[in-house]
Amino acid sequence: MLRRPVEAVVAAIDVAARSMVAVPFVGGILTVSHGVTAASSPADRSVVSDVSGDPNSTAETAKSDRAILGTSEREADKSRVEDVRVRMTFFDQRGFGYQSKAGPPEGPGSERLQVWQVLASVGVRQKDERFSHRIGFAADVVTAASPDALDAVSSASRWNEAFTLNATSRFAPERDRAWSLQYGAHLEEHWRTGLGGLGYERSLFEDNTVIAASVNLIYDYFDDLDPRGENDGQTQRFTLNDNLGLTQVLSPTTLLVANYGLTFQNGTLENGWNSVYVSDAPTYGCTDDPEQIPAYDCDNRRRENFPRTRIRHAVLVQINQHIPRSRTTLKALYRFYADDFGLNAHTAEGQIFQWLGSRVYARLNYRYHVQTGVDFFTTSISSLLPESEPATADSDLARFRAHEVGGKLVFYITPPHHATRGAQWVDIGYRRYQRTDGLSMNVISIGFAKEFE
Amino acid sequence: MNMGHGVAGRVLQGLATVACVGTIVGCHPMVQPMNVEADLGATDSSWPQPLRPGDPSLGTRIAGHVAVLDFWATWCEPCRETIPKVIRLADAYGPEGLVVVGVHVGRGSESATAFAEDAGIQYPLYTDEDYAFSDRFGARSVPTVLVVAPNGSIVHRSRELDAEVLAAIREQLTHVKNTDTGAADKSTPISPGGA
Repeated sequence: MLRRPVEAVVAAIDVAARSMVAVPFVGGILTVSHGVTAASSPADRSVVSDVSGDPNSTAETAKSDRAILGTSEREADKSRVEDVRVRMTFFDQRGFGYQSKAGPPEGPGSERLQVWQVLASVGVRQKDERFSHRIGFAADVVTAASPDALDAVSSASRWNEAFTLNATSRFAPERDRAWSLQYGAHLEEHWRTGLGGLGYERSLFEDNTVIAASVNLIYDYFDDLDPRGENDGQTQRFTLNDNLGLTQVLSPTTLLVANYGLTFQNGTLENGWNSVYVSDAPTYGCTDDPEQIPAYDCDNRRRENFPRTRIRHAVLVQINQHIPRSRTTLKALYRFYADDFGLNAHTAEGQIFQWLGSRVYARLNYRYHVQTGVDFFTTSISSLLPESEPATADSDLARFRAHEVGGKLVFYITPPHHATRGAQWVDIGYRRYQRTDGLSMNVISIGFAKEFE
Repeated sequence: MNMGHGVAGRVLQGLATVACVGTIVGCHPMVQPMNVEADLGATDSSWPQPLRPGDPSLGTRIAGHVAVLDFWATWCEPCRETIPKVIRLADAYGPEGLVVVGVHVGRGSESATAFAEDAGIQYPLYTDEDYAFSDRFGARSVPTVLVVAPNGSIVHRSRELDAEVLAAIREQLTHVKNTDTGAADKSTPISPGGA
């Protein structure tokens, strides 16, 4: 059946194949249905037992259902691991932003950031094959000049760790429909997150059409820090996210994906350690005392302030085109985003996947992003601005354009279509992200995956 | 039964699909009853050609036998998952008289050949580059598995090789074994085009 698009960590085999499971051929007919004759009743089986032996026997004869169908039948005698994936990614960010205190009081300050991230996931299928699970684990080790909570009290780079555990359990009562339950938690020094979600997926017209819907609730509970690094207690936010998706086969080699997402947030939406320069603040304690670090101990910065609610809309349209003759897959994506903070964004991306022989494929991609910035972005405020008024200097919420180019090579140790062994591969990728406000990022990733037959 | 070839057909198919998606209800697949008995005598060029030199023509190969046709493509992930099962099926029931063949659809015969070698496919393979053959027998998605009786009738059709397919195969093999119609079936005139 068709799958919704997933992140590249999952899309490691033939790109088109991953997303086009059932593909119609040509012809003026929408689709066809099954069988002229279905000889599958118990009576039918008993009639043929002299040819097949007992197809329901537990003995592993070469002619038994289990021997031919492998473990894909529901009578598999135990749960099993279907695949294991591991990825290590290194992010190296450079740039400056007015929300950062790692610089002169009026900004901009450094946004230097390095992250080592380890991702691991395992896919498990239960004895009852209708149930499957994917369990993921992520660990981030961050060293930052400014943007995390630690640097609200110190300008020195320090290590910070974050851990995420995420699981998706899927129940497919019928071949053409499935329910999924997502749940997980995130933990780092000052931040705790819990999430839960429910999804439903239905394939229609011989899997040529898949519709999907999901609802996710995310709860964040974190320290309410101010720019001086003082903890004002605990605060929280709720995020409710609804998604509708359509995947449609347009031709034997063409796939259309369309998604709409609506997100509602409520609570403390700002980050306490992001601050805005107060241009007319008193300078006492800021520059007269050489023992103090001006950016953190004087009153010339105020924490950013957001409205208590935010409504976000995102629409995505993607076309995948496979070219069998050259074993090439092209993907074109457009995404429009708008929210009630006044931020509008357009993103366009193109990807090329090219097989190089039978064991290697390459991916090249380019992404262009342009956004307007939120209505209350500013690089400085007056002390007369009421504290209830929203204001932010976060460069991520400013007007900018961004370009990203990247490439990835995937090497198959065991090819994806081996008759008796599951695929096994390694990949290495590089991305370069560059914004017009000067922020840039280099991302290097190495992955390994193994599927079990 | 060759329907809707060409660009116009594809466009109509797309429009019909979009319309059906929009309405969801009231859109039923248009099913053509399939029976290859007459078509086995076809002489046009729509029959697929052997993918590898030395393989017999498809009509010659399946005539008078219980046969399984696996329609697949290299770029189709479920096809790849099905192929190991088809290989085991051929190994298990080939000695019983079952004929298993693969029909690669669309272009890319060279990659299909390399694919088959990597996957260890021993059974005969054929290529249906313009989808004419698969259209003829209503196999409009991949993978599609057809079970064909010795007289050319399609007795079972499935999107995967599952227990129901195996049951249909066993039933046909038992029927051949327990009756004496095999010789008559084998006399069915077979003349696949292009063979």
